[in-house]
Amino acid sequence: MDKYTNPTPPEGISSGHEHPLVDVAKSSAIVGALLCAFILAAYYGARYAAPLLPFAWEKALVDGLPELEAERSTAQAARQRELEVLAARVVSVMELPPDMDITVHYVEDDQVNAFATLGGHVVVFSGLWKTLRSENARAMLLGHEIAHIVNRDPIRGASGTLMASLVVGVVFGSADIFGSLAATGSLLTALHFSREQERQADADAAFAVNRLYGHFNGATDLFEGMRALTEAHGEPPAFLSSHPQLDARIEALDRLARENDWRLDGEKVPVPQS
Amino acid sequence: MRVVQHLGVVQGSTVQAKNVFRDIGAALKNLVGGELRSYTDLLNESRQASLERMQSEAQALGANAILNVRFSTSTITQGAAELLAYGTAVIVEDDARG
Amino acid sequence: MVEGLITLFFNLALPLLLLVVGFLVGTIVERRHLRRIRAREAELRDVLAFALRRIPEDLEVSAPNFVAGSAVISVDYFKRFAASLRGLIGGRLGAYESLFERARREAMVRMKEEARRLGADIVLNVKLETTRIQAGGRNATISVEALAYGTAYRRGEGDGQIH
Repeated sequence: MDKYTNPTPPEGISSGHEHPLVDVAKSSAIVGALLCAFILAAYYGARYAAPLLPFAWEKALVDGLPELEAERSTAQAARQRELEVLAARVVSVMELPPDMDITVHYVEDDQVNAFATLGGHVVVFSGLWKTLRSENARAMLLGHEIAHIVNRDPIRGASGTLMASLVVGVVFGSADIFGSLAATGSLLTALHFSREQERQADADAAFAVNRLYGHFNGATDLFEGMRALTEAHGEPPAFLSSHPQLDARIEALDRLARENDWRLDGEKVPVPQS
Repeated sequence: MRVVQHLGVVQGSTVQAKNVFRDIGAALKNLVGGELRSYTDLLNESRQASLERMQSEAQALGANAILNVRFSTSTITQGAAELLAYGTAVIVEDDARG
Repeated sequence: MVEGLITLFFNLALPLLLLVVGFLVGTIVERRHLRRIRAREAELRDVLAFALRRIPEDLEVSAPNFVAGSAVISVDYFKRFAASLRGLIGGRLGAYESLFERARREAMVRMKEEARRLGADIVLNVKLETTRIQAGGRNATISVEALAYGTAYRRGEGDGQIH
């Protein structure tokens, strides 16, 4: 036999260990999992860190955005004043940080809704305001929205969403940071809070109302009214789309009242008829 | 020892990608200079794998030694490199027996 | 709505389509190429190649000639996608390994073909090299060049002439 030969080595030693599709599936899964972890970390990290931002910065951010105010008729201006007066009274019995201030906006709209947003702004739609037949229920509503702001819920929600979308943008290469920032504008009116945040705002508002009137009677009318509306229309009003679990919340408030021995027989303060 | 049979060129190669986490460490290290330990290790591991692949080729041909082994490295994309090892597969025998 | 669909098409459907086409066509091209390489390797079996730096003492050769062969093989869209995913998490780039193998075997075959053209039947001191060739900017196509070179000889006593 010749001392010099070139036998053919077997194939597949340096390549072809894994089917390319299997390889892609594996790496996609890992990349996907990592991406999810990053997004979640950004989301929850931002939610956790957001309250550390000074309120003044939050306010400055929102002041750059379009004005929430609208032209008002005299009747509406009167409602706006009514709202401001009650809000100031509610604020006086809640413990606001020294640098925080609340701005309320009365908006003529049939939506049964109200929301708190960045920069200490609370928006109440006439559709909801008019259904509340006692000042106690209105104070409960304002207390609830103001509590969200005191708890920094809007900035938590907005930062979480913003950071998560930033991560998505950066990862997918579009890195549309300005687009994401602009998107927070639309976020302002559509912030969704967690069940825990809602529960906390309810409790804070309940304490405020009890302190303001010396009793708790009429506060839960806010939710009873909601229930009546839901039954009448067959679907819950807009306010409840972000505030679910009506019965559980009423029950939690009743329990809170029992635990703190709040008076439930006080006089409800009527509101001026329109 | 003498070569009793030459079996031709055998080779083994791996293409290795570094991962972003090592990259972050490397970027930090690039600020201050110094050895990128993780990259050194990564490339050494892959070079070892290339050697093993080359050895399996040689074994499959019935060789018991590889002469004149060389390494060659080339980058293919940012963060991925091919590490090649090749040499001549031979059968050697002890002089005493041969 | 229509605009949204067009954006969706360009952002999602088009890359997906390219991936599928890249994978299917790329696989066929690769399989065919390997088949061709195998046939030519078999056909060139009597041209031997060794990575020996010196001519072994017991080997009589004549008519030395420098021979080289090279091949540039391009990455397909699917492989590039697979590699970019791998690039994030690290690990073996299986998709590119077959690419290098094709390029190198093709280069070896071409080197042997040149050796045979010159009347040689053995190539000594074979060296292999690989280079990346990238045309254009960041997202340009990537291809690899494999180069095989060595010194070709005719076995046995010759006239000592270099062809």
